[in-house]
Amino acid sequence: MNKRYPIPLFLFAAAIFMQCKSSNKITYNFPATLSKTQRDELMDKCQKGKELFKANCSGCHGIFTKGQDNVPNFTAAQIDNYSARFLRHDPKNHAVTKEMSPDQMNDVLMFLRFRNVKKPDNTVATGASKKR
Amino acid sequence: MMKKIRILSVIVAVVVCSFTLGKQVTTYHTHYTNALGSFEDADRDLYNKIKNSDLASPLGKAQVKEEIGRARLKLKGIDIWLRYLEPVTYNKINGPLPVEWENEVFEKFEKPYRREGAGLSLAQIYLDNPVISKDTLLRLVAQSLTAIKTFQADSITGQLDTFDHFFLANRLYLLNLAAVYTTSFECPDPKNVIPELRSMLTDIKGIYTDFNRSFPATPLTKDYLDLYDKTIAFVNAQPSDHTLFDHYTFIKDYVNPLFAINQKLINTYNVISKSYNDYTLNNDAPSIFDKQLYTPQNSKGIFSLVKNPETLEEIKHIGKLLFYDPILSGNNRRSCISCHRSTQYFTDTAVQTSLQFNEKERLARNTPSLVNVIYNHLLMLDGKHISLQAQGKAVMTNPIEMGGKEEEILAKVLSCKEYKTAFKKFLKYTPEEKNISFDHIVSAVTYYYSEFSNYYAPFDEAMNANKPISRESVSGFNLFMGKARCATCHFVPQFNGVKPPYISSEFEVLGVPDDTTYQKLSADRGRYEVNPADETMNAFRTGSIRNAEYTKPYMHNGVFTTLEQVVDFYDAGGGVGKKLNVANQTLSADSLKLTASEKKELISFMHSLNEKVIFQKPPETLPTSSSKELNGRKVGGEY
Repeated sequence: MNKRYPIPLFLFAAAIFMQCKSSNKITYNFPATLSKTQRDELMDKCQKGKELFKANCSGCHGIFTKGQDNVPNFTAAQIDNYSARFLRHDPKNHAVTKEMSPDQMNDVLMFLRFRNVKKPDNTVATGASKKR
Repeated sequence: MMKKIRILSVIVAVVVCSFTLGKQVTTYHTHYTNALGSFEDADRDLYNKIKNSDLASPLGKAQVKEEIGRARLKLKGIDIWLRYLEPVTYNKINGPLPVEWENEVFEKFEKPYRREGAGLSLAQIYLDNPVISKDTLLRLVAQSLTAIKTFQADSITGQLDTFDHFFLANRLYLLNLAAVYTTSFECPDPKNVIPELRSMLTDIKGIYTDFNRSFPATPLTKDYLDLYDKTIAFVNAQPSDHTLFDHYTFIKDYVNPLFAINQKLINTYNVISKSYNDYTLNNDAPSIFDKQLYTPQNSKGIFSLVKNPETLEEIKHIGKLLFYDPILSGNNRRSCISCHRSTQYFTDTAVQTSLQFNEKERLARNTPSLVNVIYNHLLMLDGKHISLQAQGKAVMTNPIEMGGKEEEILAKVLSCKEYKTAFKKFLKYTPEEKNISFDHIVSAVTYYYSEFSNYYAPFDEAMNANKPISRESVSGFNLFMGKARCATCHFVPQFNGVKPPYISSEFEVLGVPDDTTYQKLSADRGRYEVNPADETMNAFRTGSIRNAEYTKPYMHNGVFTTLEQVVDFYDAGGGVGKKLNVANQTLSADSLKLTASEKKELISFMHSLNEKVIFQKPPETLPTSSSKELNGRKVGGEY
């Protein structure tokens, strides 16, 4: 009789675990000094940025820092550089960033800058930089 | 021991040799170093001359002037490089005004910033002031000497070792030849405009020769160099007086075709830019007078990523309906068309300024035409807005203009089935938006009206396709560029306040009167409202003179109703010329001394900038709303 419980319990726990893992909820690392309204505004931008990133960038760059081989993931410095290049319309840059409106591009950059990167597998993130 | 030393010295010698050999300096790079050095020498001579001269005596003044002239010629010989490689520092050496407020596109991300001092050109202006401060002059020239040091830094000279920068710097040079160098924009003494131009053209030829020697795989082609030689010959054959110079032929037959070849080379050689000078410039524009020369305002807004032409047409259609629909206003009786009339180049030519929302009072400023508005980097006469969408929102929600509220407008628009269905359909193109928003509405409107900026005028066709315009218009253009000095603020090719490299919008203080009796200055503080500073008081963004004939009244407050009045105002030297007290007028207070026939020619030139815009008929009906009280609204509104 006692033996029967552990299996469904285990399944239940596993289901919850999987649920958590697959929802991939992204959290953000906003500066503590922001007011509630500023925080909400920024959150709104980041959410929009996330959707734009998903639709236009994640195909190559991935969304959880797991980009494909040779495609850069984004460190803070890279984001700044990317932003600067967008401003300059660098012809080497991806066409899609030129097509975005400045507001949209800004949303994407806000998302990349403030998202809290959960590294499910640390070796992937560091491994990528070692390859270069 | 000796042997060891000998071996060691051989090793050292080899190492040193290999270093010097490895770092081969090209003829082109050497040209830069030498020419910059010789400019530095001239600038230092100038410094010493000022220091040791008696500026109160006419002789001392004349000697300093001569020295400035000498330094300026040296500068012109390397202008193609300096202006491109480090434009901010360049302004410490040469520029039109003592204090400039930079309003670059970067204002989208930064605040405007103040920039002081413009070395050589200012020194010359100050020299003509009744009281001359030697210290001020010395400080200005010292600043330019410091600036020269910047151009010797590795971070800048490093660019000279690849070919990319060359074609981009050359493009900027050609654009400046068309827009700036032949006007008295940065040349305090207009007598020197053409002599300086001649010297510059010849010096740059030397740079071309050295470039081709150093970069034989990516040369300036023979057709370019041949045409450039002809350009030099043309300018040398022209009179030295810049008011008699044939600007029209110079641009049409020489500068613009050179530009076309340079654009082709940029594409052929896959030139890559690392400079924000090229931010807005389009490599595919074959002519300076192509409307795609620089990236205009983003008209698509939230629909930026939509590419499907059918969807874009649908967005445009909805935008058009909204443009005529008073549902966007607080009382459902005013629409965009109330002030921006489609029969009048999207302005209102019947009134000085439009009615306020309350139907009684009038607005402070003249309604601007929406045609070509996209070619401004900052919008509104005070440059308050940086995007068409922000501007559109502000008008709709301004209590004295359309008097609406965001949520109410959105709810009213969505109460109409036709709008709701369409926007629902568009929603899938904006995955970042969960719901239909005010942004969707505004972006459809801006996308609709922006298409009317894509038309050309006879003057453009003359430049692009050699279609002749009247002799009177040609003379008018030459006056515009020369004697009348219009082109020192209304720059080629849009004839607005956006000058090469087309990344900023300029503001000017003209001293526009409150009414035509010239009793007092217009009380509107203009740019000061947005960016308060001594220099920005009463300053307004320079508008385009395209379609001027059809877009009266003129000036920010619509004080003039004819182009003749406008020309007379400038001819008299603006507000100061008309005895108004304007402390910071940027327009020269001297009379232009234009004759009656010259004024006619100028206006004839402006007429050649009338664009053949094809306007559309208003929609016959507006979408039906589910709330009955909204269905009485009239197409275009009531007032």
